[in-house]
Amino acid sequence: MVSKTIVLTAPNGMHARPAGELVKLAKGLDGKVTLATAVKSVSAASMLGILSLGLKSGAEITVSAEGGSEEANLAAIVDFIAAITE
Amino acid sequence: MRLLETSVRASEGIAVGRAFVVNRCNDSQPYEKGSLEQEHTRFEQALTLSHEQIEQLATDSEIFAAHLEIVDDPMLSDAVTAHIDEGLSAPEAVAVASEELGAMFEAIDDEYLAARATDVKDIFVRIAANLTGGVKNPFEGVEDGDIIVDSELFPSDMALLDFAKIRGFVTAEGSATSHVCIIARNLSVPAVVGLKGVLEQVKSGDKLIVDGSGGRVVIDPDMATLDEYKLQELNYKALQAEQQQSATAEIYRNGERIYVFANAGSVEDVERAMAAGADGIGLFRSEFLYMQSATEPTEQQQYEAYAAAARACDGKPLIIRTLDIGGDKAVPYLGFPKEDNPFLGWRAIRVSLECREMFCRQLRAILRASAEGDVRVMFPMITTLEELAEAKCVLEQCKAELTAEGVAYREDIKVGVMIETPAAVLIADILAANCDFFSIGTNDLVQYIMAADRANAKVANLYNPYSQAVQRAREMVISAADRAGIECGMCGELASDSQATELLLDMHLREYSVNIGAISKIKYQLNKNQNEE
Repeated sequence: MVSKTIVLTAPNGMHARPAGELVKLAKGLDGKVTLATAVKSVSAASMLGILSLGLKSGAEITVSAEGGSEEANLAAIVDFIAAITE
Repeated sequence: MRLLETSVRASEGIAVGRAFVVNRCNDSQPYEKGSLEQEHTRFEQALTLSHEQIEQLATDSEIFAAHLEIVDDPMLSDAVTAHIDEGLSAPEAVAVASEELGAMFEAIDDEYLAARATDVKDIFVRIAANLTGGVKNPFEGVEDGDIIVDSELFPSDMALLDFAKIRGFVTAEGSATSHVCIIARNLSVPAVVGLKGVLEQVKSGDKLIVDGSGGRVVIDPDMATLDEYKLQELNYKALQAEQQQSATAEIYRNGERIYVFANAGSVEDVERAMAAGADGIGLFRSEFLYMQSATEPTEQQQYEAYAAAARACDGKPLIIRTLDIGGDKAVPYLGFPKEDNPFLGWRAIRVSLECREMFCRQLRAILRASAEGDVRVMFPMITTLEELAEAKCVLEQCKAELTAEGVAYREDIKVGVMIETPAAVLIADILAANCDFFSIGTNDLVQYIMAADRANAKVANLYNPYSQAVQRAREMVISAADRAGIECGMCGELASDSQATELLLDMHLREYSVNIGAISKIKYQLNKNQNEE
């Protein structure tokens, strides 16, 4: 398993639209990816899970990838989250 | 005739019509629970069916595109199957899971995400309907002139409603930020929400008056009441039509732009003000952040609120007034001492300058938000130049910190003084040389100049914003600002009074910061004067 901790820079936090796109991306990967905060950990393929984290701008998220091409999966999700601008 | 009332202001206007009470239950036979295996299968079938229905709706709606992700979510099916395993029937398990997931979202400390609880419940309602006889359109049979009465309206309802027919909305649940309110306001349809007990009182076909401006619903009104409201409805519509034309207008006088700003006490107020045509926010009261919780809001929480307000202003000015509290509106965590004279006591800037760390947290949050728009900062209750200089010094210190941290802010953020004490009036020329703008706070200024408490009936006649002394004070302040070449606005009741508009224009007042409800009225008044010139 590989992980990386990042800070959410999206000005409006993790809202429904970017979360939906993130879920689509995660579903297309060949391994499991989870997002975790200090409080809990959820599957990146779960819209409800991601929204329930209540991620605001500035929140710390630990992204972990397990199975499949772990490094590539981790990079894909981390890059996607960093690129959310709305 | 019965009257129901709420303090929530959902969507203004008056409507008279027939109640259409929404029935979401299926009138089919009662549900018969099967074996554990059967319950699982039925739930799976209902889930698949719901997915197909939403997929169709999602082709031309972003709301449903998000719903599609939720209905496919493993978290949703896991929650329901776990309850079926505990021995509940499929519909019972769906109801329990809906409550649980809904509560989880409602608990999120973010207004937008908390509102997503409605989307989650919306989907569960659909699954439950598919389990018990199929989804029907709950608005079937709505006729022209109907008023929709329901416990709660869901986002997916918006695709089913024929807005051309609907005169108004009444719901038992919900707040001013509910989906239905936003829609109703956008369409200028009156609505009353959060009206507990309305479903027990109203049945379909009842004659209703919906008074969105007053938060009232009258059931079975008598003739006199009906006539009264019908007249009000006509007047409201005529005036609204006339004022709407002025609302978005840019107003000029002798070639100078006249601004109509709004006073706001929350981020939602800012959104409402912008929708109503405000040229900016002339007074953003930051107190709401401090009063609504048991502890001081963090810098981050304040930043989020100020930044959201700045984004809502979309480039127009947002004047944030720093904390204005005192003995009369105390917050528990600051430990205000009891004072004999709170209006002459430890309040506003006097508190901020002493509680220095709290002041810094607020200024840092305001500075950070200034990267998002034309944010300005204003200090309340200034009486000496030293206070202003000290406040500005703290502001510079915060700027230096942010620069060192590499955080973005507006370096030339405008700094203003609220003119609300006789002392500030008398040294207006000195203050004007040391700040970027004034805002005259008429309510406190009248009270301090006239030494009269407006709440005391014995002296209320002295509390007169038109008295000579107050007039002279206004002239002094506006001319001091003019001479120094800085902007001067007015917040407070007088700016919202259309009878004072002409007088204030003559005094060369160019910024009116008014109550949200008065924006179109004041713009209309200014426009009328402009046209009469």
